[in-house]
Amino acid sequence: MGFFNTAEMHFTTNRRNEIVGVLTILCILIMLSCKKDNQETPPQIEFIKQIGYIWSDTTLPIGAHVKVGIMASKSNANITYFNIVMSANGTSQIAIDSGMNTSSFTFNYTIYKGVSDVETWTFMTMDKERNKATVSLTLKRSAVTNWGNVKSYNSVILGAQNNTVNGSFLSLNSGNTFLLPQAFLNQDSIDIAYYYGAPPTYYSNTLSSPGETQAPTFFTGANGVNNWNTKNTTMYFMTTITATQFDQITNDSLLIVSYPLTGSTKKSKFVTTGQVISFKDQTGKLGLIKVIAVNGTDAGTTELAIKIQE
Amino acid sequence: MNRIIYIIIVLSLPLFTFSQINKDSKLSDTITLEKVFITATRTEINPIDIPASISIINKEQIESYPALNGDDLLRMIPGLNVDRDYGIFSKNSGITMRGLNSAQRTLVLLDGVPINKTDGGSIDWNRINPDNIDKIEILRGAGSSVYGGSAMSGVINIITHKPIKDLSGKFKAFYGSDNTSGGSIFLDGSKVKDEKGMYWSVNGFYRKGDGYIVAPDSTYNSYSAKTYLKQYNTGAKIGYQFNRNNNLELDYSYNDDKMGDGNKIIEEEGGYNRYITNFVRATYNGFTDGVKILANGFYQMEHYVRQNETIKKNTGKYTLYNTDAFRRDFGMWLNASKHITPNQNLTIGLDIKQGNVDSQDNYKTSTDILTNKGNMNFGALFAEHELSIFHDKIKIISGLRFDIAQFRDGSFTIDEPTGLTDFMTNYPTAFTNNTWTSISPKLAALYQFKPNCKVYVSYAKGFRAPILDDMCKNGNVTKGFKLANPQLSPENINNIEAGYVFNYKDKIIIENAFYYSIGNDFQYFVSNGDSVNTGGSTLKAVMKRENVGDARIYGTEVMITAKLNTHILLMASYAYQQTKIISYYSPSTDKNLTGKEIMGVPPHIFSANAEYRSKYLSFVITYNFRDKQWEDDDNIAFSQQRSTFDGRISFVYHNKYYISELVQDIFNSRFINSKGELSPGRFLMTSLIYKF
Repeated sequence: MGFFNTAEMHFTTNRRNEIVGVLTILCILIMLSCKKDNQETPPQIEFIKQIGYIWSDTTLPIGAHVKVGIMASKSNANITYFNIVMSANGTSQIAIDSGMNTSSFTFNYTIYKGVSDVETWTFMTMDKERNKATVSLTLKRSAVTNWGNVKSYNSVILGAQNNTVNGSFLSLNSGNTFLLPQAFLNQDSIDIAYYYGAPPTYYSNTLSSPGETQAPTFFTGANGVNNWNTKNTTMYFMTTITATQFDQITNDSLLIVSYPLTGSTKKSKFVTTGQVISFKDQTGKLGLIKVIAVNGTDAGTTELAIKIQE
Repeated sequence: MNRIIYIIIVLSLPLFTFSQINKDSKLSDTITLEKVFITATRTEINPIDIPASISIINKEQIESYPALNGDDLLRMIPGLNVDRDYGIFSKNSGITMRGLNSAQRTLVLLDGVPINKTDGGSIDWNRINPDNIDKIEILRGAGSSVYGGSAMSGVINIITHKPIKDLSGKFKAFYGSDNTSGGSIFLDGSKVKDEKGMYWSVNGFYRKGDGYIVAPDSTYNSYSAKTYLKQYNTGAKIGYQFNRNNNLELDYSYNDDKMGDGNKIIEEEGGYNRYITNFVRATYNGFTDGVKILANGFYQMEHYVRQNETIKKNTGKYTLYNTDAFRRDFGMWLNASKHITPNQNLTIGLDIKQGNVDSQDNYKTSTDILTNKGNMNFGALFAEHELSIFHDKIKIISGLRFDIAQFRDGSFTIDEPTGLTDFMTNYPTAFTNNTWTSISPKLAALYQFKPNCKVYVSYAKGFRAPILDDMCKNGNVTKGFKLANPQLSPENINNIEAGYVFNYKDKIIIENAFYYSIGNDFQYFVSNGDSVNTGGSTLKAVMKRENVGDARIYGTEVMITAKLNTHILLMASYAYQQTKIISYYSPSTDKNLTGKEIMGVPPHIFSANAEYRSKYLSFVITYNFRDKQWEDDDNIAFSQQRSTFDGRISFVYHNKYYISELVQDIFNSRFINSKGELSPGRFLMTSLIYKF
């Protein structure tokens, strides 16, 4: 009887050990097979600290511009989003809003000091797991404001795409206009293109630039914009500035204030007489265009007055 | 080259099998006709006693037809329109019938419980493993008097395998076009002795494929990628037979399928759609004191994951976002039936169900997070009375069902909006709870003028509950930008039909039905006159689903089955359907669809099958034709006609080993669908099967 008890006890003990062993192995396997929790490490973002850039709080006069460089790299997941937000007087505006899918990037941005006393510029990057990282700097307005000079072109006549007399292309640096063959030879200097598209497919009288998507469809052939090596892009924004206000401009203050951080587009459609359009050219210079006249056909003309930062 | 080698191998395999067959060839298997139909009344009934247009797909047909998915089997049924444009690589399939163009208007049951999702109204056909199906019952025409919502155009009931043998199993391995391969295991057993005991089954299924490029040459670009497929599917069933009439069954299934959407920009897997579904069903079948009881409890949870990568054509802007949607449907359906006199049967029932959605569009290339949530509670009572007179020659079925539904706790929120979504804040939605009711009557009568021959007439009402996606989600749709409308109410249809079945000695069967329906309160997108920039190349019209249309639909279906001998069966079916929107009463709309046809409804559908089956060989060839159909509500663009031949040949050795060759779209007649994308064309699949 005792023998059986002992055997049964041995059996029970062995069986228990066996079960404990199996369970232990199972637990270890489960633990090993479990994925490590994703550590929510945000991506890295920092200012580029080199000559020519700023990376700390600064005081600037209105209209002065500084260059900011951003370097970002991923931690766990690719970087998918980057934005720049300017906050002043309790409101925020998104200056740059860009999607991507990359392990790292660098980005240069030119800030033009606006009219606010204090501007906070925040640079944020987010990865695919929505981990975010930010850096920021504050720009204060200096007590003394030195408004910049403006260059004026009081009458620029641009021809539409089929006009063989008046050129469709304008150099903001010189104020010269060019027909397509000459413009092809002066690609580097062309900032504005004018074309007329039959509505509703296109947008009637349109101010554009070589870098705009639809410009190549109006300027074709061997010298067509598609064949250009340099395609400058000018950004436009329709303002509510009156012709009188435009005419009274003596420095670049209104040019700076009227160009928004966001909302500008690569073309200004349905241009009509009396409008004042704000723009920023490829080099970052700001300006205003007053539409003096339009003659809306594909061989017609438009007459503009232009003021641009020197 | 690989394809040629593959075809040679495939063609040579049957020769080997033939050499085995000829040794002891003996024909014995026969084509049989089904004798039980459950779907019409939620009780077992002989199909000939049903005053409605019905069809049954049996196990033998399921095993021999050239079907890669459960819905492929439905192509042979008259009046059914199967939309599976990308073949095996379709993220889903749309099954419609009788002139109604949306999968939400057809109720699909799995072993008697509804699997249409309350969120979107459709079902994930990919999760239905054809190897696990014993029978599919199709009831054409409105069925809301028994089933409530979604049963506008008909009801499809998929009945899964129930174990009978002590132990049986099936192992399958397959390989096919586009490097598609996989395998499946099916094991079951039954310990039921003297009508008492347990039975069980387990099954697993895996397939993967490289897919194909859906973009035609005209739209192919560097981001065009193959639509790949990866799918895992498993399930288990356990049941206990208490006695002849009492049975309890528990069923669980899991499915995970992921399909590439044909675009790959940066992400390794590109854009894809993934459906992960858990499904549980518990069923009690009982018989006590002359009362038959059927109680079904069910829970379905679908986790839908979408990865969407796009580059905007006009701006070149890259966008990446993920959708995570949790869609739950659960409830309990109870019905009891009793012969109150020898020739009268009464069925009463109580159905309760809840559907809900919790969905999030999580943008990765901006900070936006869009969340929509909503719940729909359903409750219903129904009664159905069956009366047989004149020695069962005349049967009258009358029924009435009352449904009540409540939409509650709807919400749509945007967190951290950017320019991509902040325009939506201009369209706030007042999410109030919304309750509606529906009463669905039915009256039908048949006369059996000869054994297995009948003529019948019927009237029935059907309805479709609004879907949560329309009630609580803002978002881009093909036609514009959709706003949530929590005030949506059901669509209704009143259907009358007459039909007959003529059966000549079980050798020739002619089934024909004529129907006429009036639909009310049909839902259409109605523009509010605004346009918004959603980041695309053009402005999108802002619109909302509203109950604005009445429609008239009529048609006929005819099916002829000829059983030439015990081994050869020929079937041909034809459906004609004509639709017209007879009134369109939106006060805010900028268009009037009166006089237009319902989009997505082909006027003519034809199919034909030839089937040969013996102990050692089965061979099926099918032909399907679908007429052109309108692709938009305005009847401007229509799709191409489509016709395909499919085939399957299977050889059996010692009743255990099978080799099967399946070809879909034999003549490689590729078409371009309404999205401008290509069908896969010819698709071959070789299967090796071992059964015991």
